Amino acid sequence: MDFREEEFNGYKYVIADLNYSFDKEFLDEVERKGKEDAKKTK
Amino acid sequence: MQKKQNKNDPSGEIRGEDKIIFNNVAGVLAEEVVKEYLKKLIIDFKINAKIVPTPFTDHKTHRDIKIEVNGKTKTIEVRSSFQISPRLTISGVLTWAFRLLGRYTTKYKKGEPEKDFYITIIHRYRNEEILRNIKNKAEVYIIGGASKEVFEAMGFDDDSGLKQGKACYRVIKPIISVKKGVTEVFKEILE
Repeated sequence: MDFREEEFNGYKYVIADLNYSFDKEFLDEVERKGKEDAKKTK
Repeated sequence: MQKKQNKNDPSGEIRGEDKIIFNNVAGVLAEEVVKEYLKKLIIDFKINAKIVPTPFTDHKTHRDIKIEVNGKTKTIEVRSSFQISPRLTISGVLTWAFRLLGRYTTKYKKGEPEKDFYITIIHRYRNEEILRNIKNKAEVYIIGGASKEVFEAMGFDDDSGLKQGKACYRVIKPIISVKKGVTEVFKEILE
């Protein structure tokens, strides 16, 4: 995961770049946890 | 042959259960990206801080992070939204279309204890695209945030949804009106 800073009219924000080829473990875990949490959501 | 499952109901709306999955995946993605960014800053700037594990709570709309910085615990609420319109530019996001959300209350009960910081994440695609995107490439925008003090000083109470049973939020709009950008807010969290 890479983070880059961008700017608009002096205001700075951050973008996280995710790529499944490099961040497979992280993204698979996000999907697994998200689906698990969805089951707990009323 | 088994019929392919349709994600939308006949009206074109996303089915409720699918929406719950998309929103939860989006929430987890937002929370985990914020944690990763905090971890990166902790390492880069050799800060004496650690993220405190927190259990899942069914908030539907936000996720909480606790961080211990130099022995002091700080709380962060992370909210994420999808940007439905693909034509909306970053200028639109920052100057009129989105807002930062702070503490909230509802008609029936007071909201949760106020957090120290509120961070807003935007996924710049539609809900139903999230599972496909995380299997390919995804950008997560940490678009803004502020401390509770900044929300008190610069924000206003938006109670327009109260009559429909929705929450009343402390909001800051437009996002760009917060002069401190995202990096400054994270610096404040890690002070």
